Amino acid sequence: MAFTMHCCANTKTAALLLIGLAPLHGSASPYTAEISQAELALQGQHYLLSAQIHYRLSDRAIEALKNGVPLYWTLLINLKQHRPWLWDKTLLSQTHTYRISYHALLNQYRWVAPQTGQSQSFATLSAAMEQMSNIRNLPIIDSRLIEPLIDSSQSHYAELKINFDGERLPLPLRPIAAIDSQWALSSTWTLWPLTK
Amino acid sequence: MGIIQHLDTMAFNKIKLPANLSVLALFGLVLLLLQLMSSATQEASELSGIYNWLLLINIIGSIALLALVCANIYTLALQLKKHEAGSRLTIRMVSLFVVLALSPAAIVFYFSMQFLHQGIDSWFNVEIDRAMEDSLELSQASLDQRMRWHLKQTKLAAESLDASSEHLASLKLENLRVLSDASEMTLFSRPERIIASSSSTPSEILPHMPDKNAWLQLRQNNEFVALTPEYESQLMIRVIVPINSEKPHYLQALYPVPVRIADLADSVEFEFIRYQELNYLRHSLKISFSLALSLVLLMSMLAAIWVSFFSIRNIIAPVKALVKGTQAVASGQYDQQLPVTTSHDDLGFLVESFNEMTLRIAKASHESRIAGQEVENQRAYLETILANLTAGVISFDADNKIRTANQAAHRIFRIPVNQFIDQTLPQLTTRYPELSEPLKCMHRLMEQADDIWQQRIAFLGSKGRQELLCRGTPLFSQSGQRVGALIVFDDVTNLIQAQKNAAWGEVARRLAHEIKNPLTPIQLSAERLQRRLSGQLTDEYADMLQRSTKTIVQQVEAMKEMVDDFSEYAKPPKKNNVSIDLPELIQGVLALYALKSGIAIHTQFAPEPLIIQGDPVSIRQVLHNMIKNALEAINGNGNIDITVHRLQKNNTDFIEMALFDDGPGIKEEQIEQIFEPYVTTKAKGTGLGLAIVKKIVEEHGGAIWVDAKRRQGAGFILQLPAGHFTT
Repeated sequence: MAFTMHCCANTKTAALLLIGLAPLHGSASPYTAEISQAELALQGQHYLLSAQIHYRLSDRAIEALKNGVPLYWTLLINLKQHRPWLWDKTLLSQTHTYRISYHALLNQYRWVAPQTGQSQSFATLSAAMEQMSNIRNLPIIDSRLIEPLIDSSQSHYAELKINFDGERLPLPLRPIAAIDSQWALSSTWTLWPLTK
Repeated sequence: MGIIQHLDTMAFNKIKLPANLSVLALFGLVLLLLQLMSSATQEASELSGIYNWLLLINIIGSIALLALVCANIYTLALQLKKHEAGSRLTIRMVSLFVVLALSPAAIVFYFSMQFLHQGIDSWFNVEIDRAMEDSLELSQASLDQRMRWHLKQTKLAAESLDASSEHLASLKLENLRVLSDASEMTLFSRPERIIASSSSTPSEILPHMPDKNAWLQLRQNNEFVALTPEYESQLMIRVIVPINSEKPHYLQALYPVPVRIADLADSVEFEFIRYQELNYLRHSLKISFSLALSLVLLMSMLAAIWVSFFSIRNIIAPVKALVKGTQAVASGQYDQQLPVTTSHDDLGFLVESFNEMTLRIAKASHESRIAGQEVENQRAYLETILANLTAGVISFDADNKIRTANQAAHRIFRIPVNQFIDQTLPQLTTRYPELSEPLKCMHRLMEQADDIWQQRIAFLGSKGRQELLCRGTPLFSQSGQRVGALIVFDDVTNLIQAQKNAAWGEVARRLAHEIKNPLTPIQLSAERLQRRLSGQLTDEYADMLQRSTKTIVQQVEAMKEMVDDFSEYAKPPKKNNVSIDLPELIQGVLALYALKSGIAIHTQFAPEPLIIQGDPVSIRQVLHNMIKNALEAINGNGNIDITVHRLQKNNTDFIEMALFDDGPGIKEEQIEQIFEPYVTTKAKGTGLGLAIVKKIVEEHGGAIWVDAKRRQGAGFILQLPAGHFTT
């Protein structure tokens, strides 16, 4: 039994932020990340997420990174049940945070997942980004916990998004990041139906 | 910031506190928002997470305040356009306030910005840059040297393992590790293939595996040395070197960097990164601080301006009310009472004085209105009296134009009152020619008189012959100047007629009584004389007696007849008022006269109905008398013409009968008195015929006169008011 992704890219723009605070760039920015593949598969007792994310860092982001500003990304994954008359019911919502920072002393880029404590150093930025791009068998949930929640008569879907966390930028950068398309690094939501 | 707050408190002082809690709340909110934003600017603050939101809320707040201020300015502009009370004063006060508040705030803002930018710039300079970079380089050099030393050590160890079998090598490894002070030594045949491993911490079963990059570098450079942060705070030097043997083997050694050096390097790196980051963020920091400062200024200024509008409106309100009240009083509304403010300042005093003034004006105006009403009532009362007077009253101004005329004047002249006003009597004469005679007469008398005058004026008016008794007086002002005239006139036609009738009635009654009484004894005595003496006298005397007696009897009869005529004349009219067809009555009367040859009577009646209203017996008497009079005038030979037609005079219909004969006519001197009793041109007759005719005609509201224009024979014109035709 496996949930596989049949369609990948298409999107719903989740721009429900207040006018003014909502990033003006939206999906039009050339720097948004793109999820080119996503899959939720059952291995043993666990559902594991595999995804391929393509990051497009802007010059400004790279410059900030090289000047010691750590950048944070959050991987958001939701499992939802479709409801015809109400908003869709969220069965599961998970976040995974990643940080990339530059170590001047070693001239290395360091990737850290603070939730799990995993970390890795890379000599180049692209190598570090590569680490973030390929998500392999990320455990999401125990099947015994999720399966009682699934109503087989309804349709279900998963959604995935990589969100650049502008709120974790240094304070002076935040207002600029909110309106500058160079900082619009988040991907849009990618949805795919879950089938048995 | 301090100055801005000071200005704000200045704005507060002008406001009356209880009425303006909302303003206080607004200021509190503004200050809170600004304070929150200011706190959020501190990196360590918990509020920094909502910095963007605070910024947005402040921007929205500023926009809202700006909209409020703009709305106020717009309203003020509209008021100014409408020239509303107090708008100019408000504009002046608001502009003054804005200028006063804005200029120091702007100066403070300018210098704050200067200090801010210079302050931030002063954190960074080339020396510190250099020092930072040097210290990092020093750390790197120190670590580099250590790495090279360890590389050398590892190479030595690898050499000692040369040509050793795998088994021997694994035995040597422990020894080598201890000798070289490494924390871990591992022997690989190829990536992921561990031959042997030795570690200082026996609990670690698996050695630290090199990553792909390490292998890649190893293949390229034939050696690999790198510093790796193995744990969060621990630095390791990883060295991989190949071992020369028949099979390619690799030796990996991990050397821990001493904690002290690692800490120092870490500290240097931390500070360097922090400095680097600050340097990088310098521009953003300036923008961020400027934004915050500008928002603070903008919000405080806008709030202050809005409050200034608010408070100035409060101050101006009584002035505005006063202006409106004054305008209302000027336009005649005296019942203005302004709301009295509780403050006992000059404005409050002014408002109280205004209220007192309007009260007094209202009272005075009320009194004068009552007095005016009283005067008006008096005038109306006088007018009513004047209108209901039976006498006509006309007043004239200095130019002899009519100023007032009462209803009785209209009744007498049959001219609507409104046509009198502003006309002179000659003007009225041209419009009402039938009244020309009395009006001209009045005008003449009025112009001539310089004292009270009185005159009887007779004329043929709408109701036939009318006689007016006019009294007039010129009006003089107190300075003796003639300011107009007053004429009072009365229609005395009926009165005079009644007087005449009464006089003649009395004469007739006396005559009848005094004359008729002795007539019968005279007649009886004469008849007795004749009866007694007729046989005793000679024929000659008897004949004379008979003739004399006959004469006496005849004359007595004639006298009796005459006395009867008198009593007939004196009889009060007994009118039987019916519609009479005049031609029919004339024909009936003419039929009674058996005409002799030589007399021709021509009648000519207009085709329209010729009806009069009156007593048929009296009218028949009139016709008898007139025809008899005419027949007697032509004395058995001549023509009599009778024409009857309808005419309109003074808006009243009359039936006019004209009777002409071709007899000897009437002498001019007799024309005036011909209708008086005892006036006759004939040898025979009592002279009462035409008097009776005139009396009856006048009793019927008509008139009769001699047509003086006729030169041959006599002509009488008789006019009687036309009656309504009834079948």
